[in-house]
Amino acid sequence: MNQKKSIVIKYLVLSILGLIAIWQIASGKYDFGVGLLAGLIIAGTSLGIKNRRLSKMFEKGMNPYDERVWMIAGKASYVSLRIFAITCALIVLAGSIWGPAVQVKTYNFLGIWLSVLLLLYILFYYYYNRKM
Amino acid sequence: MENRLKELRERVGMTQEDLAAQAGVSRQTIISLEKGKYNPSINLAYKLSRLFDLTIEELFLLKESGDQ
Repeated sequence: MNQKKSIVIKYLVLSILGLIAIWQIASGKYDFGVGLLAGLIIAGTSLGIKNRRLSKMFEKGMNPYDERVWMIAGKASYVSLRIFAITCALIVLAGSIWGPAVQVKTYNFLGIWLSVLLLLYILFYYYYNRKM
Repeated sequence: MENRLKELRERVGMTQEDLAAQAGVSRQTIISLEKGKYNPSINLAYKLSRLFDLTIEELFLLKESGDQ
């Protein structure tokens, strides 16, 4: 996938999410709608800034997604997934031994765990970026 | 792995950005290479050595301490 296609897809996803946010606000679900819209504005702005920087690099003949970046991303994914899997396994083990009754909202629970995984990836990406 | 990248780049009056553009990598990669923090792939090592009209062995030196 080239740079232009990738940008178009990213903005398309942001637009679809924007429509969902507007629909939620119109339906009276202000908390979710406004939160999503604020997140989208921040994501869209940072995406625009990032794309401008990347375009300048491509124009100069540089490749911002070179082998070093892929190596860092690979290492960060591997380590964060390993930690995530071990943590999940320990929680399941502890839960199966002591078995406390926990009531969770499925989507919130899934969202929190995905955020933890993303956070781990970001932290390890920055760690390896400094190290390599 | 040690290398003579910085020395050779400065000798020809090239900036890190120029070298990155010619090698098709980011400036950050050149910085990491020069600091010896990152070992390049065989493709990149070959490309860089060709830019300076050298062989890979003349540009990159494997330390005896057992680099990975």
